[in-house]
Amino acid sequence: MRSRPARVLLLLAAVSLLLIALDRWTPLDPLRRAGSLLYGTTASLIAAATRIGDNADRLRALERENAALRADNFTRRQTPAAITLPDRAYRGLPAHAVGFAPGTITIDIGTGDGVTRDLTVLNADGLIGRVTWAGPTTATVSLLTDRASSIGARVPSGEVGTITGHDDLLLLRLLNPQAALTPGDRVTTLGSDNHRPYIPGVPIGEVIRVDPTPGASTQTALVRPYAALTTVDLVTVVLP
Amino acid sequence: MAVVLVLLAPVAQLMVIGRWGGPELALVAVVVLARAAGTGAVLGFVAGIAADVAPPAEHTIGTGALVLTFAGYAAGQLGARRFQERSLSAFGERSAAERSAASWVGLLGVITVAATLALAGLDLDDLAWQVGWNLGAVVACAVAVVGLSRRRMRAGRAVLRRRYA
Repeated sequence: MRSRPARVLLLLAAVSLLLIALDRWTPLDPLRRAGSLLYGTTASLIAAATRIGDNADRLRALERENAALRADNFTRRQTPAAITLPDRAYRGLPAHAVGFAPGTITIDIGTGDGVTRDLTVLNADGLIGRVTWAGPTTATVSLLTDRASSIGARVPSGEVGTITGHDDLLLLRLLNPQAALTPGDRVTTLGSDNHRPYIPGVPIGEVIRVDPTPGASTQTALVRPYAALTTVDLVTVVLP
Repeated sequence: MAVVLVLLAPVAQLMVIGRWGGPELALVAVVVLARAAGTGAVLGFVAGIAADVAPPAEHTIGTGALVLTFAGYAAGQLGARRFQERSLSAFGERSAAERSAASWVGLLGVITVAATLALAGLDLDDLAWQVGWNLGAVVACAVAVVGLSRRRMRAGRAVLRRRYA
């Protein structure tokens, strides 16, 4: 005969295990959407309340215009002329970072505003990351410094490689081990198929150290991201 | 009250702790606020579900609920024993060490470390920091709770005096 608290414990533990099994089997997106609706909206409201000033509407309009111009700017001016740019206008959605967790930020726009998975997120300084999940009112952005992230990159000499997270910095691996690379070089995105998750030509960061690796099959370098990822506030989600 | 606090924990976690680093508020709240085994388990479950579904909700839903249910149960068990002992203290039959606030704080610390390890799973990278943050927060909160309930302290001292007089 078990006592009542022990029965409560077993029941709740069983429910938890059931949830874990269900989530593994078929992702419990309704629960996540409810969490996004409840907690995301609360966080957005609190964040909005803390930045209320006069002329909030005007500010909003300017933010929107700024975001669109920024998205356009990054892809038009900073892409080397050698790359044929698809003649399409990107649309930028302005968003505020309202939530922070290791490797991710939560932004205050969601599927209701047109955000879906695998969209590029940038700010005035450079690339922030990509949208990994979109809820009704908030979306989760995986930062480029996340350990699981891997981004196609290009350096000024035209060589291509990949960028992966490396603590607060980034690790650049160039496919060509003899590629010319010096500290100070600007690393930009290579762009993905169909422009998802990454559009081409967005500045990622600056090379700060080139690792001498004679005989290695790739050349590696440490890159410092241009965007200050822990103090990020206003960001732009690019709709290709 | 306790339920409201653990339901609000994810918001603060997201907006404040996520940016500057710190303890897992849900875990700290559950361990410090659990008063009895049964309600502690329920409190832990509610806090765990809230923390699981709050953005970014990247891990499997239910893991936080499972760990915090056990943490709440264990912390509540300590609370229950503490209450029983207080009622028994009239008979002066229990050892003073068992009853002391220090042992309560210490045992909460053990629960915290165990729960942190369970939550972290195999993600060992920032584990030392996380254990430190959570342990520090729980001990600080528990000490504050002990400090607030002076009556309990005085009762403890009276028992000590009676026992070693």
